[in-house]
Amino acid sequence: MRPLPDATLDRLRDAFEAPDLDHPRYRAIERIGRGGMGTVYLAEDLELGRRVALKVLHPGDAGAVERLREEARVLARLEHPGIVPIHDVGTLADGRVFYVMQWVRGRRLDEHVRDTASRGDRLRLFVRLCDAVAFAHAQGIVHRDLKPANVMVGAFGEVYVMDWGLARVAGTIDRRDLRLRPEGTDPGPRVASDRAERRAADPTSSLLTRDGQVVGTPAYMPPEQAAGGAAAADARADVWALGAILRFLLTGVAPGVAPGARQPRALEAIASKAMASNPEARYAGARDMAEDVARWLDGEPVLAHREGLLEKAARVASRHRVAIALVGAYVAARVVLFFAGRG
Amino acid sequence: MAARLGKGIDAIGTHANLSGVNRFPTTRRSAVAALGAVGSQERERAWTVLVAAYYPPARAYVSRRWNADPDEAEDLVQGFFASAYEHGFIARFDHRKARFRTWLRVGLDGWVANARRSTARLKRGGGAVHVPLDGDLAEVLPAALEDPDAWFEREWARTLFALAVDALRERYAARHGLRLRLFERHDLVEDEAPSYRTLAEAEGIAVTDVTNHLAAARRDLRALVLERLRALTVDDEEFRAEARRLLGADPA
Repeated sequence: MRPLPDATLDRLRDAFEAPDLDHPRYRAIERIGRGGMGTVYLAEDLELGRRVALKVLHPGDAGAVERLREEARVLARLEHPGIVPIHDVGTLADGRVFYVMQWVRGRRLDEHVRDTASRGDRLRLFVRLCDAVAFAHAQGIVHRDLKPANVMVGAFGEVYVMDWGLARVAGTIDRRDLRLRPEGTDPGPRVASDRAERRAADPTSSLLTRDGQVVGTPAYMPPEQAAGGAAAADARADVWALGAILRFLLTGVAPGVAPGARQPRALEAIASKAMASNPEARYAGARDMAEDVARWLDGEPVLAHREGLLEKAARVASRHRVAIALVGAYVAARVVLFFAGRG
Repeated sequence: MAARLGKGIDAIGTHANLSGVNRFPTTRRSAVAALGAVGSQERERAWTVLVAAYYPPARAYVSRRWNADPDEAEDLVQGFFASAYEHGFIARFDHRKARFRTWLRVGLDGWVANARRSTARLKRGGGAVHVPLDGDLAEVLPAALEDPDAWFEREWARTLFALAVDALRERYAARHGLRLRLFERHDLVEDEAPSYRTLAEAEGIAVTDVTNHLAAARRDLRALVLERLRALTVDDEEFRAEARRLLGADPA
């Protein structure tokens, strides 16, 4: 028996995990990401001669097959520039399910904001994110796992909402929310449970129990969803997550971590309203929240915050700072001319 | 040395002749389960399967963890397997209590520790009870290994894949020379693999042919690995769990 060097062993194991290259249409090029449900590869669509992203479901969780198909069905309903379109769904030779989607050249939102210093730029990204989520809400679809890691920002500032694996279509009964595992039954494959344990230890990682009672990511999950009410999670659950993302964009730190500098009260009020414990007290949907943020960007009063006289004056001054500066310069010039004339 | 060995070791050869380790009988039946079989023929065949899969990782493990030179590691592991066979140690394995690999490794650690103690006693003049001084501890204690199970598992995986690769070579030698060459030049090289295009130009074939040949070779290798894995696991549940750990994919 010829011993295998480490590099060869790793290559063989990677080749086994990678999608079967014998697929008649797609050829995997390299692995570009690994999430809670599957691994994403950059692949080439040999038929159309273009690069695509190919997501292959992790093995070992029988329910995940149905979830991936469901994600594919959900995505197929969402034709929006902020939502990555799905091209194809299929099964690999080894039985794993995959789907093919547009390859997004960009960075995750959490990586992108590290280099985006301007608050205005961050907020404009946020409004685009809200637009995509609002579109999904209008189609009756709730994402349920919104977080910076699930948002991609393209080279030109375009925003894509990714990973719709936990999404739920309003008016449907989600089987994930109904499955209950009787006590004493098999807790599932070790690999799957190991992964779940790792996810549980990371508050920014998605949680999806086998019985489906808790879905989402702890740091970005509204209280009703964290309490196991995933079945009841509606658009306002996404609004809560958007509030958490807004806080992240403003402070640069995940929700729950003490922020550094104070933020404008109006923006803090928007985030607080979105993250109200009582869903009834939140924005009704992503569209309302986006409009409030857009008002702040335009220097208008926001609905989430009743401002005082000084705040109003400061906002108006800020909004009209160019005009005020011009008037100020004009007045100063007249004063100078006045005294110069008297001298 | 061969006289000390049990039948399983004889079947795979001594350290002077380990080419027989390739003799991994083709079976879909669990060798671990067959160790407790009534018929001696079936039991011996199961033993051969287990030795072929576990002997090399055990030897590498003893070298690494017990800081043994190659000859000593060989002797220790042969002694362990021979003793395990003769005293029915492995036949007492209960899959409901532990994974076979872990159970074997723990047994091997115990056996080597005892062997080291015996050797140390003999060096000091026989059977007197001896409390080792600090300087002697290295002789009887294993080296620190962050995760012995993970280390042993990797060596075991290395053996499993090497056995499957050998079987693939044997299968392809007669009929699929080109496929074997491509596979060896791309997947089995230690350094960075050449591109498909480079291989295609070297062989005077289309890039898609390279793709197809490599895909077929990987599929065949995968089947060979799984075939061996099935023989080394107790039931379907363990087989699937091990396949997921080894290959990252559920065996279809």
